Amino acid sequence: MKDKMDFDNFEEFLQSEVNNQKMFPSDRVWNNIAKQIQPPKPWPALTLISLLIVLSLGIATFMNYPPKTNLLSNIYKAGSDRHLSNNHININNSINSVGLQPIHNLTVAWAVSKIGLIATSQKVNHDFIISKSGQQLNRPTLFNEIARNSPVHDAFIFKSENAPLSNKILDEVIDVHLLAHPNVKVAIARNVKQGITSIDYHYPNRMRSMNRPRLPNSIQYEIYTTPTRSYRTLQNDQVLSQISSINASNVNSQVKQKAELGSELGLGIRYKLSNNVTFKTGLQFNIRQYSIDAYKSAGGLATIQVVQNNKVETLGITSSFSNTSIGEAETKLNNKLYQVSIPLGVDWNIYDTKNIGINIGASLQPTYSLNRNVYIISTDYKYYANGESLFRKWNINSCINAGITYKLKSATISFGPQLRYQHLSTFVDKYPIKEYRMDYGIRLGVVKTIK
Amino acid sequence: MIQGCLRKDSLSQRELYNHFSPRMLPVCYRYAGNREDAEDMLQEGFIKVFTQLHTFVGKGAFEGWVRRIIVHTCINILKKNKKFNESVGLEYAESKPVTEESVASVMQGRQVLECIRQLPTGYRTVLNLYAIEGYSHKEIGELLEIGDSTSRSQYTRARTLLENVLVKKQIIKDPSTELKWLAAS
Repeated sequence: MKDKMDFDNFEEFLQSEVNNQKMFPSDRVWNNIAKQIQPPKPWPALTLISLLIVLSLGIATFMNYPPKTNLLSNIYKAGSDRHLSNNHININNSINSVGLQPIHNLTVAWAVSKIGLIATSQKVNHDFIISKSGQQLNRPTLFNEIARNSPVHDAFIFKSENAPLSNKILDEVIDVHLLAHPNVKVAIARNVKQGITSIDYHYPNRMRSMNRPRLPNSIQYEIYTTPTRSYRTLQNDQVLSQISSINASNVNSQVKQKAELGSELGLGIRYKLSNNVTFKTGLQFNIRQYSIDAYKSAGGLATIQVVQNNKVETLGITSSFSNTSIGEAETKLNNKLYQVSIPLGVDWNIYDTKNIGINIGASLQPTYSLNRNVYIISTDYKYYANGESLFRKWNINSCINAGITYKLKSATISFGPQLRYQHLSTFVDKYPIKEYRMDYGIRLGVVKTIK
Repeated sequence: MIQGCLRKDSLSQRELYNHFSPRMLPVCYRYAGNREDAEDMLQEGFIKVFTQLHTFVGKGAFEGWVRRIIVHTCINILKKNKKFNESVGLEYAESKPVTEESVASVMQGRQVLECIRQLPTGYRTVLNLYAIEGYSHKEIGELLEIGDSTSRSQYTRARTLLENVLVKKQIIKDPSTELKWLAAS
C-alpha cells in the first residue's frame, strides 16, 4: 500500500497504475468503425435480379417459340375463300381475292392490307420477289437464302403485267417457302389475262428431306430440390505453414465439428444434344452449414496469422469463444452459408426405356456467397473469431448425381443421390488453414419438355 | 501497417485497431465514467485516427499521436454533452459509499482506474489531463475553455477526493495516524 505522504509523486503513481491497463472493446465498436472508413460493398441484388429476369425471359421465349401456325393457312389469306388441297392451289380463287385490276395497284394494296407485306412503289417489268423488310430479291438470291435455311419470311411475288407466270417458278418458290419457312406468307398475283387457272405443286425430294430444327422438343426446364447434409474438412497449407509459426498438427483433430442439415433449390434449363446427352444450366440456391463445439471465453485474443508475399502478418481479434475447455460453459457455433450458383453440366441417360431410366450427371457451379459472417479458428487453434475479413465471396463447386427417372404423361421425375464439393478454400489464399465444404443428399427433380 | 491503412487495406486497418484499442479503451473509460460511453468515445476516436492518418508526419511516437486524438475526442464528446457543470464539495468523498461491485478487477491498477471513474466528470477530466496525460493547466484551460486558476482549483479538489477514495479502498495509507504517533512521540 502506498503512503499518502509520498504523493509528491502522486502523478507518477497514477500514471504507473493506469497506463498499463488493457481493456478489450466489444465487436460492435469495430463493426461501426469499419462501416465508416471502408467503402460500402455493393450488394449484388441488381445482378441477381437481372440474371433472374434474363433467365425467366429466356424460358418464356423458348416456351413460346415458334408460334403455332398452320403451314398451308399462310397461303392466300384472302377473306374466307380458301380452297386448298395438299398440292393444288386454285388460281381462280386467288384471282378473286386479289381483284381484277392490274397488278400494281390493287394487288399491292391487297398484299399490304391482308398479309402485312411491304409494297414497293417501283414499277416492275419482270418477276421478282420482295421480302417483308422491303429488300428486293431475285429468284437466285431467294433460293440461295432458303438453301442456307435463313429466315426469309413473308415474300411477295410480284408479277408484271405482260410476262408469263410459269408454273415452274411458282412451284419452286411455293415449295421452298412452304417447307423451309412455314411462317412465310406468299401472295401470288398475276394478270387475269394469263388464263392459268390452277397450279399444281409438289414437294421436291430435296426440300422434303429438309428437316426443320426440332427446337421445341429439345428444350426442357427442370425444378429440383435436394435436402443435404453439409460438413467441412480443414487442411494446413504446407508451404504457408512453414513460413508462419502455425501449429503443424492436423487441424481436423484439434477441432470438434458436426455436419448439419442444408438444402438446395434450383430452376434449370436443359437442351438435348442427342438422344442420351443433355446439356443443363440454370440458377440454384444453396444453404450449407455445420456446427462447432466451443466454449465461452471471458475475453480472449484470437491470433490470426496471414502470409502475404512471404511475409507473416499477425492479427489479434477479440474473441469470446475458445476451442479448449478452461472451465467455461459449452456453446455451439454455427457456420451457415447462403449461396447462389449457376450450374453448367451434362446429364447422360445410360439406360432408357419407355417409362423408366437411369441417368448420371455432373456440373461445374460458379458460386457466390450472400453472407460472410463465419467463425474462423485462430492459427494456434485456441480461439474462434469472426472470419469475415478473410472470407472468399466467389467460389467454384462441382456436383455429381445419379438418378432413376420415371416418365409421366407430361413430365419426367428423377430421384437419386448427389454429392457437391467446394474446390477453393472458404477463406482467402493468404490464410494458412484451408476449409473445404461438401454436401451430400438426395435430389428430387421434375423435368418438363417445352413444346 | 500504417502504409497499409493509408492504402485503405482492411486487414491493416483491423490490425492497427486491434493493436491500439486495448490500450486506448482504458483512456476513454477514465473520461467516460461507464463502459458504453467509453466504447462510443473509442469508436469516434478511431474513426478520426483513420481519417486523419495522412496527417501523421512521423514526428514522435505513433501511439502518442493516437492517444492525443483519442483524448481530444473524449473531451469534445464530454463538452458536447455538457458534462462539466457539476460542482462538488470536499465532503463528496466522505459521503459517497465505495461499494465492492463498483470495482470489477482485483488488480490495484484497475482499482485505481475505477476510483478515478467514480469522480465527478469535471474533476475527473482535469485530473486525467493533468496527472496522467501531462497537460499543463494553461493547455487544459484552452481545451476545456476555462481559466488556468479554475483548472488548478479543480485539480486540487479532484486530487483530494481521489486520495480519500483510495484511502477508503485501502489502496493507500492515511498518513494522519502516523502524524499523530509522531506528535505523541
